Amino acid sequence: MEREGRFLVDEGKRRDFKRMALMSLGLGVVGILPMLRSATPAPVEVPKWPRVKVANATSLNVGSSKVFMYPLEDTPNILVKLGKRVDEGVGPDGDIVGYSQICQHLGCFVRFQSSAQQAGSTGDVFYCPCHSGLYDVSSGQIVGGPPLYPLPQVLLQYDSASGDVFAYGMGPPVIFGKGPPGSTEIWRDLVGGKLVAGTGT
Amino acid sequence: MKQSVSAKSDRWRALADWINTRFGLTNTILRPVPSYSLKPDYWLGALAFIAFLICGLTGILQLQYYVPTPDAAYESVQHLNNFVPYGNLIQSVHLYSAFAMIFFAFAHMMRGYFLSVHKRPRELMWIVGMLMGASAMAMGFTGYLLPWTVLSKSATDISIGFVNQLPDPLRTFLMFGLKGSGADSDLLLRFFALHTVILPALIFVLFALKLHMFEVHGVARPEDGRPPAQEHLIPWFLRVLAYMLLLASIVGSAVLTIAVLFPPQLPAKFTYEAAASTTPVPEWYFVWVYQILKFSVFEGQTGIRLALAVLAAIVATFTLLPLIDRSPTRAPRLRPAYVTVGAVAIVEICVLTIWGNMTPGMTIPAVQGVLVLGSSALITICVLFVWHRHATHPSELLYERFLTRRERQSVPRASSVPAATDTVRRGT
Repeated sequence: MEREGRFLVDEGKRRDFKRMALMSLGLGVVGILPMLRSATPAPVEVPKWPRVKVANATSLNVGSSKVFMYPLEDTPNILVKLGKRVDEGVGPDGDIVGYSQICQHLGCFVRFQSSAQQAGSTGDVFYCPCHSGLYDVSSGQIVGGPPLYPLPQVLLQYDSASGDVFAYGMGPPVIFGKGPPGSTEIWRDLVGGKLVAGTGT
Repeated sequence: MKQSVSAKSDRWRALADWINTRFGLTNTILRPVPSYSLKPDYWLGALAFIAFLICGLTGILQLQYYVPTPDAAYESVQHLNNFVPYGNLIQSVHLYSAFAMIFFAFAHMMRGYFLSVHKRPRELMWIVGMLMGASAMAMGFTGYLLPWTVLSKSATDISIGFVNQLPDPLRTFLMFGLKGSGADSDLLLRFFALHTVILPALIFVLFALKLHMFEVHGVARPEDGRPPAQEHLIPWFLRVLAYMLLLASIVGSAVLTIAVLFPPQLPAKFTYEAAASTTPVPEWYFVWVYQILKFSVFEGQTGIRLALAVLAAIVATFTLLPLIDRSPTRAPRLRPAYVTVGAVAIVEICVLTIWGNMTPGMTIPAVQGVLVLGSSALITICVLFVWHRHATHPSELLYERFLTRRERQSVPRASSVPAATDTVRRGT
C-alpha cells in the first residue's frame, strides 16, 4: 500500500505499539521507585555505649583542655580540669568535665576559654570561634551567642586506684549533626560512623 | 631550488587536504557568526568555559598525586606543593582559573541580564546557563574542602550545619547526600566524587545543550536603537576559531601571570584543636551569602530556615527570569526597572562581599543590615535615575561603551530618523 512514495500506516497496530511502549515505560518507572530508598540512610542497629579511657587525672593541669573522640571516631569532645568542684565533675578534686566539642549552632568546634585568658569576661566558658557562641563550663548551658541547644555532656567515671578517667556515655541533647537538632534521642550519637575502641558497658 | 620549495608546499597542501577530507574542517557544523560579535563581551561564556578547561587540565595533573582520605589528603597536597616539579604552579593555576571561571560566568550572566538575551526564543538558554553557573559554584564549594585545611574543613562544616537546621525529611535526605554516615572519610569521598566526576560531567552535558541552542538561535543581537543592518557573517573556520584561540591565550596567560605573582599559601591542616581557634571564612564568591546569613534576623532555627528560603527564592527568581519577564522589549533604556534591579544586585553583592571580609564571625544587627543595604541601594537608584534622565541618546548608555567610535557615530538620533522614515512610509 503505497501512495506518492509514502507507506500507509496501520493505525491500529501503531496505537497498540504506543500503548505497549507507554505501559512498559510506566512499569519501568514504578519498578525503579523502590530504589530511591537507597538514597536515604539504611536503618541501623544501635550499638552500646563503649567505655574508653580518655585521660589520666594526674596528667591534667588546671585550665588545660584535651580533645578526645567519643563515642565515634569523628565526634570530638573536650575534656577540661576546671580547678573548682562542680556538680558533674569527676576526678580527685571533682573538677574534670567533658562535653561534645561540636557547637550546637552550625557544627564548628568550641575551645575552652578560662576567665584568666580574656579580660572582662564573666567566667570560664566554651567559646565557638565561628559566631561567638558561649557555653557554661559546669553545665554546658548556653550563656551567649547564637547556639540553640546546650552542649551534650560526656558521662565520665573516675577510677581512684589508677587515676584514669573513663567515658561511658553521653547526655542529651543529640550531638550536632547526628539527628534533628536538640533531639533527646541520644542513641543517634552511636550510629553513622565507627565507634571508638573500648569495652561495652 | 625553486622546484623543491614548490614540492614542499605541495606536500603541505596535500596533508592539509587529507586532513580536511577526513575532518571537513572547512565546512564545520558550527554556524558563522556576525562580524559585530567578535568582541570579548560577546564571548564571556566562552571565556568561562575556557577557564573551566584549564581547571580540567590542571585538575587531571593534580589527580596524579591527590589522596582523598582525611588522614592523607593534606599531606598529598603539601607533597604536590613542595616536591613535585611545577606542583605549586599547577595548584596555583587551578585555583585562579577556577576564580576566573566564576568571575566570567557571573559577568556573562549580568551582561545577558542587561541586554535581555533571555527573551524569546532563548528562555531555556538562560535557564541552562543558570544551572551551569550553579554547577560552577558547586565545583568551587566541593573543591574548597579537598585540601582538608583548617579553613576549608571548618567552612564546609558550617555550610552543612545550615542544612542540619532544615525541616526533617529534607534534612535527613540532604545530610545523607552530603555526609553519608557522617564520618569525615565519607564527607571527603563524596565531595571528591562530586568535584572530579559528577559536576564536571554535568557541566559538559549542560554545555552541549547550551551550545546546541546557541547554534540554533545564533548570537543575540543587542537591541540598542540601531536599525538592523546587513549582517556580515564570518565562517568559524578559520577566523572565529582563531579569535577563540586568541581569547584562550589571553585568559591563559593572565591566569598564569597572576598564579606566578600571587601563589596561594596552603593554610594549616585541619585538626579539631586548630579548628577551635579559627574563624572560617568562605571563598570570596560565597562571602555575600555568608554575610546575609550572619544578619541577626536569621538567628535561631526559624531564622536559619527563613534565610535559606530567602536565598532559594532569590536564586529561583533569577533562574526563572525568562518566565517572569516576558515582555518582548529588549533595549535597556526602555527597561529602567529591570536595569535598576540588576545594578542594585551587583552593588549589594559587592557591598556584602567587602563587608563580609571585614566582619568575619560577627553577627550583624538587623538595623545595621537595613541601613547599609538600604543606603547602598538608594545611592545606586539615585545615580541611575540621574543618568537615565540625562542620557536619552543611546550612545551615552553604558552598553554603548563597548562599541567603537565609528559604530557609535552611525547610530541615528532617536528624534530625527524615525520621523523621516515615517514620512517616507506615508508617502508610499
